Amino acid sequence: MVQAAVDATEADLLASAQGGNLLAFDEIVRRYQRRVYSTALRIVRRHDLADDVTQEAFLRAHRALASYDRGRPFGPWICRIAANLAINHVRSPEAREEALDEAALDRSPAAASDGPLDALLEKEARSVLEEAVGRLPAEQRAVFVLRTFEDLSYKEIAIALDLSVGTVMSRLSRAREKLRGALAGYLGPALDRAGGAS
Amino acid sequence: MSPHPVESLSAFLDDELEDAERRGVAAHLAACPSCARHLREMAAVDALARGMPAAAAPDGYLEALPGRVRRRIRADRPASTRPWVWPLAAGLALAVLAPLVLRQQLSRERVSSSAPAVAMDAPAAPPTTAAPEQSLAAAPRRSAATPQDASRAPQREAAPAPKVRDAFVAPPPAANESDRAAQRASSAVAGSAVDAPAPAAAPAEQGALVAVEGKEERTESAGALAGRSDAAPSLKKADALRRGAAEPKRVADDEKAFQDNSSLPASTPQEARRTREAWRRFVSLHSDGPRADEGRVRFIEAAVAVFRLTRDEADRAIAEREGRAYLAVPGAPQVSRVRDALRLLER
Repeated sequence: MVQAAVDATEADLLASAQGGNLLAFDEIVRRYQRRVYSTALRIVRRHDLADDVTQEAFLRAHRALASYDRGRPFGPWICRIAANLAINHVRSPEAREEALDEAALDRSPAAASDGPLDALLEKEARSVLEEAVGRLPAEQRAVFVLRTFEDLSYKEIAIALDLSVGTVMSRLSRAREKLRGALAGYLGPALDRAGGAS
Repeated sequence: MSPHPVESLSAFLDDELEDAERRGVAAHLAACPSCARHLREMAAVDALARGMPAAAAPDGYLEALPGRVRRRIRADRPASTRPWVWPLAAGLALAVLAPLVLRQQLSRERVSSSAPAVAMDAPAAPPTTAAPEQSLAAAPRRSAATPQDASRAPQREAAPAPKVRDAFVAPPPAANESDRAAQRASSAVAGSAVDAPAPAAAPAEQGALVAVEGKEERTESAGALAGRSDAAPSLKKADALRRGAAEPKRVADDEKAFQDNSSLPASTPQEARRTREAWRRFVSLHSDGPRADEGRVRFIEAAVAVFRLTRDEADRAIAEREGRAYLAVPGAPQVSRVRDALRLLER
């Protein structure tokens, strides 16, 4: 039992937080903050808005803790809350979207690739993709982010965003078409690397 | 060949099509190089996107976030669970008003040095806070002690509620009315340090500080203001003074609650459960105090004690859960003591 105690589970932390232990909730925030912030930032595209969304998501999660079923994984739940808030932010009149900070992209580790040219192309392609994702309508962007980065199923996305599965399907398809169009000049090398060029 | 299933390729890629449709698309792809290429390009976009690292958060952002979320959770609690709110508001309101009164009084003295007693009763001065200079340090205590008095000042200060947000990069808008009052108070105090004679301003600040109760929401808001690049040195000094004066009160409150809990009986199951719940409240209300960690351990030990008296599995579950939660926090200082407590559950 003592060994089990060392491996505190997420459910333990949640149960303790449900009992009013704020430090336990702190630990939950620590475990999920990067993921929540990242989801929010990919949708709202600005740090200050992503910060708002991240804080608000955890605040709402805390408010809802009393009725939270600890058998459910916390990560997808909090990310859905964040995604919903992020979409509302983007839809709000005062929201003004900006491209992600280039410096933030530059801090990313260099892409693993076969040579400097590939690395350059891939970096450039990422930059183009990042811009293209930013130009997607917010609704399409949210669906794309939840599918691609959070790996949610269509049904999970539909529940999270209060959409039908068919709408999720069509929005995702349109988003991918736009991104594919934006990246047309870079997909050849990417397919070659994947060994799938026709 | 069947029509190009362009609309379905995305869902095919995600394996989200119904069986029949999936088989149809697969058959089409086997015979249509164009659609096959289309699908591969779509997959390449996904792969490229998945390979993108998350944009980095600003330095220090993630480290600070749990504390900021915690403050918002505290601010989100109903006011009835925060009995220090009205004393705090009263003290801060006094910090705003006292320098104004002093300035007014001093200007009158300059005009007519023969009428100081009349100036104290000047109608422009608010009735509850128009105190003579020598009583400023004590006045906040009086204000804090009477909720009726305390409630007047914040009502006069009421302003439209801004969007609640604890900003990380920009100086934060106040999270609640108390914080907004704190910010106004800080500004007013900073102004008074410049405009009003120093001997009058200093007691006013310190007097207000005693009533502040040292709550984190207030002190950190002032700290954020003090940290602004455009903050005047006098404002920083005022905040430092405020923190220094408020901390002993907060420590005293924590200590009193701790000692109260420590003297609770736990001989019977009912008593033990009441004691456990008292420690639970302590952990919740004093999670940043100097006794916070000891309180958490006492809570766990109290939970273990309950189970040893009741042998009720629900009580055991509480003790185990809290113990595991404690041990999960990196750097928890009393790990071995908590483990020892948890071992008692097996005896």
